[in-house]
Amino acid sequence: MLRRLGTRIRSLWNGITRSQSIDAEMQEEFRLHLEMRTEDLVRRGVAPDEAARLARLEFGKTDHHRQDARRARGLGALEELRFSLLDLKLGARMLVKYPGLTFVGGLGIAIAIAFSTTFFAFSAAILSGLPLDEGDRIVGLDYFDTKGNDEEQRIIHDVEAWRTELKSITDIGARQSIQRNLFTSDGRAEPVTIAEMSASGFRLARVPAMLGRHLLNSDEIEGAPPVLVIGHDVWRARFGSDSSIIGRQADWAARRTLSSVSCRGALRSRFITNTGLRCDSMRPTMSDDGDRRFTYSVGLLTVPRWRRRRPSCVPTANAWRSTSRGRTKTCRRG
Amino acid sequence: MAASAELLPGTLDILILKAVSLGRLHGYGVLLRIEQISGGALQIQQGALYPALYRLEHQGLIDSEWGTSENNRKAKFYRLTAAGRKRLGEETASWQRFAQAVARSLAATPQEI
Repeated sequence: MLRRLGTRIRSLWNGITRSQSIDAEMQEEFRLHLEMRTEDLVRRGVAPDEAARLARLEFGKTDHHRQDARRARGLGALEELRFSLLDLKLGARMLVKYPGLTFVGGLGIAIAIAFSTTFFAFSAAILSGLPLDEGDRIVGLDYFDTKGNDEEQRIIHDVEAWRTELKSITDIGARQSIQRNLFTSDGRAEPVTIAEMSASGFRLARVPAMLGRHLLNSDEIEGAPPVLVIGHDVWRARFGSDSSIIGRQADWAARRTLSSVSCRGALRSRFITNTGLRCDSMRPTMSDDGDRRFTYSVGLLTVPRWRRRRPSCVPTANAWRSTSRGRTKTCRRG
Repeated sequence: MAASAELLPGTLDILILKAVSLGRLHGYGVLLRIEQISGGALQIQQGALYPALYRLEHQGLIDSEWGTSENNRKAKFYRLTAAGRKRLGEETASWQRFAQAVARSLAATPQEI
């Protein structure tokens, strides 16, 4: 084994150090082959010129064989490198020969580097956190299947488990989006996107309601009167910016069931803008529904990220991932 | 002259090892020896011969030295090394097992099943 390895290394070393003489030997060997083949054909009655032509035809291109032979000696990579060095040499000559083109090319590369560096520096400064009070402490929470490389949906029990188990998160909010037809007193019915979300989501955002109040923990208790908090756009478009809207009844229909809800607040427009929540209204989650699945969960870190040396993950499942706008951080269990 | 046969992939190396095991040979001599010992049934592609020779030499299965050919020309002669002889034995045994298995399979009749 060692002897064979030594033989290969010696052969490779010879191929590198004696490259030119090996090429000359190959040429000599090929020449002898062609001469002997030509003589054979002549002995069989072929005319000398025709025999030489036939021998060359049978043998094929010597350059091709020479390259194959070098690869067979394990010098293929060296052959590629030699081509690369040749390319570099040629490129350098071209740069000197055409200074105008060199200048324009260099300038273009410099501008592209400057532009991309500025863009990424600007993005990093702008997208460092959510535009909320202590936005840098707010992170997205997901279950992440590390084997399937895919996100998993959470149910309300997962969120409850996170609340009690995660030591690096102080508060957790969750929501899902649903579509409903909203009936107002003027008889109009239009589809709206409603975010079913936990009251803690409002605590995390720390954006006070423009009118009335936002959702509270008491709204999540089973048997509590159904309430609704509407977004700024719905307040303007559907309720005519009516400031006496608090306590007014509205109906919404899910398939054939008609429910009545009481409006408890209207949100400032920047709540929707700053949280990135794409919905028209919010209603509380019902924690007793174990199958309720959430499309998004957020949490508030105990310590701001810039003070954290590294994320401390508390195991609740395969792994959990924390995200914020433009940034993704994944940490594994343990 | 025997009917020609297609050279199976991977068999050129073992044929070269066999050819040089019978005595030292230059490249063209290897070609002629293989044709001779196969009864003219195997025609070697001349272009494939030299890469195979250099590959075997790189692997240490054959060795080479420059000498004088039968018509007083400078020629490179190849001979089998100890490692090559061992490899030839292994490959020959493997090939015979394979050939026997294929021959036995092809000779099978319905009564034998």
